[in-house]
Amino acid sequence: MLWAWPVHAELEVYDTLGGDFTLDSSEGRPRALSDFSGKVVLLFFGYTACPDICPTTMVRVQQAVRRLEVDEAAQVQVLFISVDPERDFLERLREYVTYFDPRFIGLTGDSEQLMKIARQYGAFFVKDTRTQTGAGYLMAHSGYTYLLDGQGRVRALYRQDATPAKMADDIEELLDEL
Amino acid sequence: MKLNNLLNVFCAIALLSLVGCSLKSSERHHGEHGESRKEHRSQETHDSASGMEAHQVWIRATPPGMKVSAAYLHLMNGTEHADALVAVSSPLAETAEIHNSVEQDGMMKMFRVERVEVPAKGRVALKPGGLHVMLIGLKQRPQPGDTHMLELHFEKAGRVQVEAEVRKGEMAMGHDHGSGHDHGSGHDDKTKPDHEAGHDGKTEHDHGS
Repeated sequence: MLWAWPVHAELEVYDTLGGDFTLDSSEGRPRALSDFSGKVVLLFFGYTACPDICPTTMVRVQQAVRRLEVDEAAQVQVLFISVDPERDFLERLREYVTYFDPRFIGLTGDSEQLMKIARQYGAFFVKDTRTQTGAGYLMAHSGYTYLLDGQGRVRALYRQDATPAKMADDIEELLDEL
Repeated sequence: MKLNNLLNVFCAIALLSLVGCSLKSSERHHGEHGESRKEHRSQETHDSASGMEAHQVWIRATPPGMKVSAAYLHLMNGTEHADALVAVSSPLAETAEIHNSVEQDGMMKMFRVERVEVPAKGRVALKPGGLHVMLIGLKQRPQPGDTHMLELHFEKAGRVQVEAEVRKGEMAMGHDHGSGHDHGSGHDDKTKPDHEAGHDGKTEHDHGS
């Protein structure tokens, strides 16, 4: 029957990925993913000394959020998880994320915590000591951005080629579910 | 993604083959205007003697306290001879290195690249998420609207100076100044053909799977 057809069938739940976690935040206090229950969350992993990919992702996410109506954007939380706790102190993380948008929150923790969360999300990161560069070490890390619904469930994974328009469409879809 | 795959990825950067002939000169930059997109378009450098053109030269603005940033540009070789970008320097940074970001199986890795070949009559894009100039040890914070010199060192054309404008992000222009035009995806579409030169495929032979 037509009336029974799911309206938004395309954003399925990735039930093998995700889960709650708690990390130190750029707001100066620990934050849990579940604190953002009822909001749509965009989450990605990176590090502030990353000159290319992370700011590119940041700008893309920022643009996605800017495409939304103001009241919609208020229901979206962007979380940047630094996998470089050695260099990304909370203050630096705060300066970094709020540069892109004052509402963005940076999170980090010790390696063990970060490893656990990365596993939950099928993400990966490692200090790259092979690439010789004048900038100290680089990190290799997952390039996916995760879209989480109001219940903290992973509903979409974006590669680097995802457009802000596509992300904004998906966010709106999840906002409709709230 | 297996760990050993990842480690493999770090290993080698294959050198590109080298063809070329002798070209000389330095390059001038022109075309600064006040406003964004127009400026973006006009931001070209051209040198008739070397035949090497640089377009869309920009440096990524950084938050306070950052030690690294990236510069991007499109290179067009108008000559009949292949050339290669082998080094970049800038007064803005203590050092600059050419890097390539590669996404594979969801992992982002960055490699140092020895040279970026610009084929005869060909073009190469150094753009976000791919080839870029990593500026290391920033001497000042690059802020939107600033301009900084980049010196491009070509194997054949020699040293070419170009002026780069600091921007927050390439695609932000579509949002901030455009309408009815998604500069973000538009840019990607536009630059993809640049890789017909096969550059990306040649620089990394070390994909981990």
